Amino acid sequence: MAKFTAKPKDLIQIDFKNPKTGWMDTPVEIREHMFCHPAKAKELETVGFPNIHEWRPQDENWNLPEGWKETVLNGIKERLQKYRSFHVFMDICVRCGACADKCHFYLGTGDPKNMPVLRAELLRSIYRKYFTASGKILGKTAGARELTEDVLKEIWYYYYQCTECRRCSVFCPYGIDQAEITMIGRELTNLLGLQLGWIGGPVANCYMKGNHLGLEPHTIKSNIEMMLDDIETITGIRINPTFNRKGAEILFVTPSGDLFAMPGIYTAMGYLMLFHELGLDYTWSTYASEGGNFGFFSSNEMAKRLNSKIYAEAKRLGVKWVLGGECGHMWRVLHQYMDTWNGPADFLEVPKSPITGTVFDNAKSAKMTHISEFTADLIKHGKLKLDKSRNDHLKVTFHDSCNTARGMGMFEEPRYIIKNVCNHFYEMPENTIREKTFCCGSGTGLNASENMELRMRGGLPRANAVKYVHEQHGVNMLANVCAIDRATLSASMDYWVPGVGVAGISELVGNALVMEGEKERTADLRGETLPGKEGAE
Amino acid sequence: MSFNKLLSEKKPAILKKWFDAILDTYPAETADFLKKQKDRFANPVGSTIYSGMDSLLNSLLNADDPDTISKYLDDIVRIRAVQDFTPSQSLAFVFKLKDAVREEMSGESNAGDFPGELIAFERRVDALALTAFDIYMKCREKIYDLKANELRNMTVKLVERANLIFEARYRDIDLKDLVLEGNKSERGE
Amino acid sequence: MATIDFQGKQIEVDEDGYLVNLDDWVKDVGIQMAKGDGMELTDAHWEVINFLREYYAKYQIAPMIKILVKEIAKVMGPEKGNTKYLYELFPDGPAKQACRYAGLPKPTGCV
Repeated sequence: MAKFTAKPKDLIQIDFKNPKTGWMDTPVEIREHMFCHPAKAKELETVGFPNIHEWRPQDENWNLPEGWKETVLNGIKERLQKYRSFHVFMDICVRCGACADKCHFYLGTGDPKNMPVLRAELLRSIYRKYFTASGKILGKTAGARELTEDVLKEIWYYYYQCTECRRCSVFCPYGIDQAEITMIGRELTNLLGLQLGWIGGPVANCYMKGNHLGLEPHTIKSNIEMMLDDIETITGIRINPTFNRKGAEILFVTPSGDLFAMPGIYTAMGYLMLFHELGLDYTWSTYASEGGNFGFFSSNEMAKRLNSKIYAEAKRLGVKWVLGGECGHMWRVLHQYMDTWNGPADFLEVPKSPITGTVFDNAKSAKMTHISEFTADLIKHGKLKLDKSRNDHLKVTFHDSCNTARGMGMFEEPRYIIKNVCNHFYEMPENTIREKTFCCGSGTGLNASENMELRMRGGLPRANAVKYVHEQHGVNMLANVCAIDRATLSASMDYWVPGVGVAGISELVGNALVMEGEKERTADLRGETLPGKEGAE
Repeated sequence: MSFNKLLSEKKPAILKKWFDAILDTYPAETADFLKKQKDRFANPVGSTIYSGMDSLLNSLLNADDPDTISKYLDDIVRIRAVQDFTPSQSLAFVFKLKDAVREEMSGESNAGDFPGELIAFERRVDALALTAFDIYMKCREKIYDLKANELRNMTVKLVERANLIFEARYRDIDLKDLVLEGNKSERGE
Repeated sequence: MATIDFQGKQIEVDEDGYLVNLDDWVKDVGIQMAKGDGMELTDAHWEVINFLREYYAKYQIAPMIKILVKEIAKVMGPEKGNTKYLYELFPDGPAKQACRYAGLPKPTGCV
């Protein structure tokens, strides 16, 4: 919506019914507030993206480079040869429709081209036309169509209305991974210089400075110092973490949003407090200062390139294993790609908790363990002293992040932690959590501000389930283990379910954690007075 | 039989017509889905609109207070306000209620007995449309606010917080209540 | 790419009106941007803008507001290191508005 275009004379004859045309005959309409701004030239230059040029999504002319069609078709050809999965996914869909109504964007927009099957057809139709005999001969009858500028725009528009959350894949009888199709679609448009600013910027920053935000080493230190000041105010304890320390047992890597954004910094305060209390022999790195990977939203090569610093830094510092913070897509990358891209990490050991002795066999090859696995294990072994009542002002529900849920199958650990640090925990309905979790609506670099309308549409199914537990149980805190969730669900809640805040799980752990030598706590990590401590000092 | 009694009897049929009218504004395959999928979590748009319309009809029949009516209307308009519609397309569904009522009542031999009541009812529907317009504008303004203020939110809400913490810390005055307030405003309470 | 006309020269800005190239910034650019918003920049505004630029020069990113307020309080005293004061100066929000006049880019990523 958002175009106030109806003229008075049209009002008289306006037809409120939707026109009924087939999808191929319904041309794409690029609408404001649905797309993100293009990347800046210098950002793309930094990482050597091709065909950098001036263009705006809302313009008729995208100034496409000469020979763009060949570039795309060659790009498809190359990827068909390189990725067997892509080739298979282009061929095997029987259009059964199981995925159609499982996408949060479709549920929120009602736009058929947001049905995963149809989103994939946008590209499949090109594949059929140029790479299959039936498509070449039969054309439209065989679901094939020419690659035109409008078709390219359509692919671009709708492939940035997919957050690669993979919910649809859970329901696909063939296991078609629509996220991989979107990834390829984005790679193809990137060949033409059609990158988003919200992806290009973080990618360039990450390449040059180690993290998406472009935080320099002394900035990271200064931001953490500020958190340490606050921790001291709240607990009376001064923590002294180390940076880039050679010989530490563990390297800790988290998304840079935790060091800068709200409410991510409270999650980071939770990490700092937990590690201090354990006396953990660990170090932060100002080089491997980003767990997230916006390269993953650009191309396979870019993701690999940005990911390489994690093992490189682990090797340089001589640590035994790597511990990772609360992030979503970071874990899909670490869990499913890092090892084959930049491994084998044979210079590392299988992660083993120095506190409990638990060996994390699930990370045998990648050598990197999730903070929730680590923390849940500590709680299970009774190694943490916890005062749940310090979270009594919170009625908590848990949003499974798409990638930790569907990308690594981590369902129980975060819940186990929450139940041990909070007295009030309520699950959202079964078909909106765990492997069926709904995306926040703003992942894969779509967490800009200019596309707010798209984000609200995509965020509706998740928010709808939050609204239910908010109304039923008075839930006022949406816990999660993802930096994009923390950055974007606040806006979604603000629109759909006012009265619900957003927090990382480690923040809740930090609240409950009884630390040795601490003063009586009167406030939580946000400085909010604890229940029953009003007037106490 | 009174007008209200007749309306109550016809309610299921009116609701169905009214719901069908709003579904017509979506693409055919989507309308079909919005209608058939009854699970409210698998179909947030369809179920919210349907239950919103159902509640609105009850409220109109019971002459509920404006706040109650406004809440049900909000559920529907909040969704329509972020979908692919012009403002008029978004809100036309309200007037479709008049058509649904007239069509359902026209078959009744005694429908003509209540010209006054029918006009009064339609006036309530007009008032509903005006309220819908207010809600619609609030939703749109919220979207622009969110868009304009996200940068601000990521940093400036911290000003409020930091400032309060700062004052509590450095001026040695107990401003916890204010801190609490700041947090409440962040959660939109 | 959008531009603003500054003393006959075209300066590139992004879609939200932030400078694309930091080097394009001179004091008068800030003044002109503020004028466009109907604002007259006073010494009090410049204290904050200069602080932001100094912070940026040192850290290569606009400060988290939490830090901005703390630092301003440290340097200029608590009567200036508070929300109310900064909001009075920059009604659209200190981070957003002051950063734009200071020529600093907005942060992107998981924020």
